[in-house]
Amino acid sequence: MGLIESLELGLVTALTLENLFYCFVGVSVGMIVGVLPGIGHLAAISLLMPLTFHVPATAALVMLAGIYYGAQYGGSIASILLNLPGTASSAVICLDGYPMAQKGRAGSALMITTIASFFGSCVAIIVLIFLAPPLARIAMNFQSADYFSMMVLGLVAAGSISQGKPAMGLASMLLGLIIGLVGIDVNSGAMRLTFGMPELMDGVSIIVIAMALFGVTEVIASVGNGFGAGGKSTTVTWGTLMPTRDEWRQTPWPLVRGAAVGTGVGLLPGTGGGSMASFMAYAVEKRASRRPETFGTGNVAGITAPESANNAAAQSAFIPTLTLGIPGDAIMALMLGALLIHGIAPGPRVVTESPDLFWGLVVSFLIGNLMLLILNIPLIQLWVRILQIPYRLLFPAIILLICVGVYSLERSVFDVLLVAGMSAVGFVLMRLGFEAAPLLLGFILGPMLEENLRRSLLLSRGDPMIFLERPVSATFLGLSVLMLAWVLWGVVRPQRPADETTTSKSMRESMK
Amino acid sequence: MNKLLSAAAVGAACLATPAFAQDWPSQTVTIIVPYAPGGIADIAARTVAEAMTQEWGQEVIVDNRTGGAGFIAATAVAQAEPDGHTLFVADMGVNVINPSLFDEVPYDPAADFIPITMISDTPLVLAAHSGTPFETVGDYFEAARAAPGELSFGSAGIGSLNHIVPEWISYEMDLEVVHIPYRGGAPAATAVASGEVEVGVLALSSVGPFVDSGDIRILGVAREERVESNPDVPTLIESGVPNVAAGQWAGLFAPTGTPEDVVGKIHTDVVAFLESDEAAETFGARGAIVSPMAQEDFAAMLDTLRGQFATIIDAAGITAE
Amino acid sequence: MTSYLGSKDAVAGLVTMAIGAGVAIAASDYGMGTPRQMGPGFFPVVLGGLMAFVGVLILFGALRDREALPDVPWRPLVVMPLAILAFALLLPRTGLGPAGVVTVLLAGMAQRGRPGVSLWLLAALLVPAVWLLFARLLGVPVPFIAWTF
Repeated sequence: MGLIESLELGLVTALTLENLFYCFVGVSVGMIVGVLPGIGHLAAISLLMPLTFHVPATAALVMLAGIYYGAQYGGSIASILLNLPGTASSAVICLDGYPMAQKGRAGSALMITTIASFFGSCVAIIVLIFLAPPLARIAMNFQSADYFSMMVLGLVAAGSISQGKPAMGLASMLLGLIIGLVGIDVNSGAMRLTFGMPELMDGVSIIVIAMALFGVTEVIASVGNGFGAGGKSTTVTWGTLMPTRDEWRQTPWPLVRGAAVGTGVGLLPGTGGGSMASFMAYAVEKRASRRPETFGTGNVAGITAPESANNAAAQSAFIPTLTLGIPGDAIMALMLGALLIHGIAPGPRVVTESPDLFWGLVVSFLIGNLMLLILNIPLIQLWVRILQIPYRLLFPAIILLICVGVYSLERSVFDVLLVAGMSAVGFVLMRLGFEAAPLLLGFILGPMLEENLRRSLLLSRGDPMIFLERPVSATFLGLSVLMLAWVLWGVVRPQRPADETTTSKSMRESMK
Repeated sequence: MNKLLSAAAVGAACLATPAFAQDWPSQTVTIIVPYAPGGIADIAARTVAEAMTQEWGQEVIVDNRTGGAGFIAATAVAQAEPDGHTLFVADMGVNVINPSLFDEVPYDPAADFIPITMISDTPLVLAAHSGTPFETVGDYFEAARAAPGELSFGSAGIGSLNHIVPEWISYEMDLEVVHIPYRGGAPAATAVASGEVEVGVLALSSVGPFVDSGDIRILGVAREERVESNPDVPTLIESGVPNVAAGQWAGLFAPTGTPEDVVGKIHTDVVAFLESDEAAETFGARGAIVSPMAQEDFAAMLDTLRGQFATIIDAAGITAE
Repeated sequence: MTSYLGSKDAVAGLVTMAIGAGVAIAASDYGMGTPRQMGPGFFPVVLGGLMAFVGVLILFGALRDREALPDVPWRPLVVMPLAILAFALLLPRTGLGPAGVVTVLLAGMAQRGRPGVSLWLLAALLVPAVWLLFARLLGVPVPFIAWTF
């Protein structure tokens, strides 16, 4: 079957009233759980799983997928407005989105993230349509050594994500890596840092950390400041909603780079989905920027790239799932489960044996994203009004939503207790100069780093050459070395003409 | 408002006398599953829940209580009110492996749960990467003997069935094959498909896609008899490996103390559903085999398995420290 | 002038060292293994050691930069986690309704004094709305009111 006929079949399937309806239900539910802190798409999809028994396979999948990528749109809304990441992957949006909101540019930030979400998704869907099978094969041939080297590159690249003193950034990342160790060690089955609690055997949930370190600590700080930081009421007109010409000018390249990073990371099974993609995109953007010091103060590129990336990753994650039957994360495993419930064996045969399902689903992605775009833009006005609620009423509501949202994740009271403890400790640490973003990044990369290092050495029977013999791994390591060298060069270089460094320094000072 | 009343009823139920079969089920029945949605146990539970909702006229819901190698779910079930409104779908891990694997297990599978019936059995197969020269189980043994410690097998993690069964094979055949653990069954299957490891003992349903794509070859099935869907694949036993037969089954349990007549009714209704053509077809489509069982047979099988696995786990030196 | 050991960076350095050393020590009995088969202790010991080392660097850095310790807003810092804690403890016993109301009121008190009318009103409206959203729309099985102590 040619591509045109395939797409035609997909269009016919996706445009049936039934599938349109379930697509709409899916993206709407996704939006809602995305906006709500804590409860994420995984919880939502598993809660709605029973519904899939009563609808045809295609409709079920269209709906579940809609929840998944719909949540990516909603996730950044609370990050921008309240520094409260709706999903783990939108934590990084807090870094520049929240400062934008504080400057009165919340509407503009929401508009840009909506467009970035749509753009990132579309790029990945186009890649999915044209290149799914060959890319999936490449992804499948990524081995442990390659994953390890990629994580090394990730850590090196992400050194830039820290905003304060480099040593404190490093300490934060190490702390994140250490928190990532909690739980059963995959390679030996040993329990580490669990203190005998079975609730910790599977580790700490990333949502718990994000809620505690971004959401609750920000509330404590704002209340402590007498609300100096939040809740500046702004008049909402279309004027303040629209990005300025200058803001528009800053978006195109971050959009493209973010989509590329997101599509690439999303392809690889087991890279943790959107959160790694958005962090990587942020790091890449900051490296590529001519004025990296403006990141963290409301830089438009700092929200555009990660938002484009996490949506691209959400779509490209379907590539290995649908074409090879390899689920990249828990959510993809759930999708495969939904297929199995309907008696469809996932794998390469899906494309040939159930072309209406495969192409219908793919086309529904496009339609769903279009729906999300149309749903989101008018809603921006509504979201921005949240900031007009007096903060003294807003923050107890935020705390309640965090509690209920975190509880809903796995219906675990323990997780809520963890949020309480981590937010208190986290607040004190952050006052001392620790940073949430590098910590979260260390937490995401750490387990994969260790697991793949140890697995590679087990496979090579202890020979470290395995990391240099594989071309992909060697390339990643080479890039890491180059990047380290570049960073070190940057440290050594300031022995150049004194006046230049002083001006750039004073410029930096005035930026603060 | 309904929910409010029923919530009040939950509180009251703590004081009430146990339910009896004629007025059971009087409220929503919850099936607790120790794993995330989408897995073998979860899908088995959901299929049964769906059928029983219609049969019993009460909602039957699935509650995924993931975490801690099934400890959290198992403890919740063990502590639940044994009135037939809390049921448990569990597998080898929770019922057979955990007590031998961990030093301390917060529940006792033999004492805390009443086996009701097995629901489904997903056969495990010995699979090899298609780039290896192994065409039969014998080829693999020969290669493993010729070069001890050279070949590797992938598993879904320490103490998983995909870890223990290959160790069992190695134990019976006196082989030395290196264990490489992955984070779950899907990455393990992918590792065999990509050739990172040579072999793996994997669920038939999870290797299916890779057999289609030509990346994986199935050598044998770890079962007493051959599988209907793959009649050409010999069992390991007929290929000369004594004893090795274990499936990734999912079974239905109730907490100890559940009234006998309630358990009896659940058993009768679930088995009746499992014996229907419809059930055989739905499970068959997912590479699983419906396996209704008499309560005594299921209990006896569990006893045998616990003995067997304790020996293997001990002999192979598998521990979760 | 802030004393050296009382400066922000010195305290941060000491905390970093303590965490690092603590993790390294706690992990030292997990087993280091060999390069071929690394034990579960290797990574945590290395990370803990590195962190302790970074702590020393921060401590040295503090010699130059004697920034005063920042103020700590004690009231919200204590009350906010307490409100979350109350939710966790009450939810399984009383259901979402009472737990939610207590949380909202407690959290509101992080700011000042006793809860005013507006806070009570907020709790009365928000808690049922949140319950409807999570329990009814999203299907999270959590009762509004329960009584199991």
